[in-house]
Amino acid sequence: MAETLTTEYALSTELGLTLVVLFGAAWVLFGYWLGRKNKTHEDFALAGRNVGFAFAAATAMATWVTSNTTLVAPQLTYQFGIWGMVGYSFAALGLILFAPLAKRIKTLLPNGYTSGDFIRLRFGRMSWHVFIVISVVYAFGWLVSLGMAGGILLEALSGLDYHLGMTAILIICVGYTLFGGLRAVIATDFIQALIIIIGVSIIAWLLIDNVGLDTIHAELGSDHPKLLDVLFPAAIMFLFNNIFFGLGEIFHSNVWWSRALAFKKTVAFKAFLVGGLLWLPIPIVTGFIALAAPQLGIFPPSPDMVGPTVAAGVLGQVGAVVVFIVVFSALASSLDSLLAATSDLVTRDIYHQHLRKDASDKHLMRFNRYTILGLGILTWLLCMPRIATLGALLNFAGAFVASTIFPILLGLYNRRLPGRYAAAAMAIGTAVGLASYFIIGFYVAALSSCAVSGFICAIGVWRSREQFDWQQLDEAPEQPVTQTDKEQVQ
Amino acid sequence: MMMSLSVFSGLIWLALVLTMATPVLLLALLVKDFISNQVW
Repeated sequence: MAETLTTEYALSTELGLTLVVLFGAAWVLFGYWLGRKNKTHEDFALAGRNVGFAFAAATAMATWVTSNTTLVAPQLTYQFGIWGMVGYSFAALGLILFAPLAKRIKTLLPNGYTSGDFIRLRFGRMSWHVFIVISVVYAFGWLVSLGMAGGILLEALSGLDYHLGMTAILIICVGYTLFGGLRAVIATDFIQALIIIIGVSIIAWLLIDNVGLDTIHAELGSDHPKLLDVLFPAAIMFLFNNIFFGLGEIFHSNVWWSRALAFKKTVAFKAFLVGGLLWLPIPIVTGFIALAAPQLGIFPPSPDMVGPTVAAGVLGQVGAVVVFIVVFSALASSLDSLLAATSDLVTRDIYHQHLRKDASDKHLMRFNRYTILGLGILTWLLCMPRIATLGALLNFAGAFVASTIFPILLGLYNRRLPGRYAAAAMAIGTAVGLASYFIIGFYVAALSSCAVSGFICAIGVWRSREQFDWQQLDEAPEQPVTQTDKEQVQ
Repeated sequence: MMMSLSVFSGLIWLALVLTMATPVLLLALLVKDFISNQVW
């Protein structure tokens, strides 16, 4: 059975391609249709700052359901057993704890655009530079991980060449984000959330029906008892590491800040809270699928393909189609968000604030679109060589993002943390996290980075006499454009 | 210490039932937003 599953593909290449083309065309047309409402840069980047509760909760949940939830959660369950899936589900804490921060962000920065705006206004230029490096490393780590996952998925399920599959998913996501901006990203997220949840539920239900929980438990207990061990030390360490990684990812990333700024003020808190609670059980369901692998004699070609391989192996062609659609939707729901949020960061923080302060609204909207295209091309180039497994790539970024947790948290709630300490906390925390990653292992990178950064922030608060004025965060909106673009006049 | 069958089954079923309830909740919220004109 293992031989069959690792050498044959669950879908024909033609069917795989047909699904990609159909979904791709649907998403791009939908994005184009939604994009017609975008009249200003604020419409394009922040969906008019008026997103309602249903879309807000769905986009929070769907964006956090990434290729990592559908591919890496099963991979980690395959490696760490019970703690792999439970530990992964604890990443929901990131969304849940971001809920009060989102409300605070909406209050303190009613006219803000990005997380970079906050760092610049709260901590100054030095911190902003460190933060932008962290954000860019993280954004590209995630973008590349998503692009690679697209290629790996298509190849594993249909035999389609990795490079072709990866190129296809990038073109589709760049296409509809380019046309529709954040409005398209959020609306497609809602539909993708429904597809992901229904698909994952169907796979898990059929797996239980076909194989049985008692059979899986008995097989693991006799042949792989470590996977059921509730005191698996490396796995418990992974659990804590994952909590801090999740917090760092969400607290710093413009993907989440742009959502907080785009949601209606009254829904920002409850949307992240509900989104997190809805997300919590999903990694357990996707991770559980991997626990059936030993029972079925399935040994996937690479660990990150264990989930799709089991589902396709047990449920045949229908299962493979469901897996394909689910992972494709999960990838798209995160890839589009990341493209939109990173392009906002480049447009607002780098281009508008540092290069063209006098750029008109129309000009910024156009530049934002070019940036989405540029990010897509750069991601494509970085995805060309398959450089690492998805899990390794993901955890490498943990060293960077976990260092931002305390500077962001204290920056939003404490008046005393000075900018120089915030910059040092992020830089030194990242360096220690990276050293831990290489010397000890991936499962301590985020933990050590966060601990060191927190210690430096604590010293900063203790020694500081500063009292930051929150009013400084409320930058007045740019003057409305009263005449045609300056560049057109020139 | 190995997780017992009852805890293992309970964990998986609980996660699955909660996951299956999510689409119903999201659609209900969308309908509510639509009726009160609060979608965007």
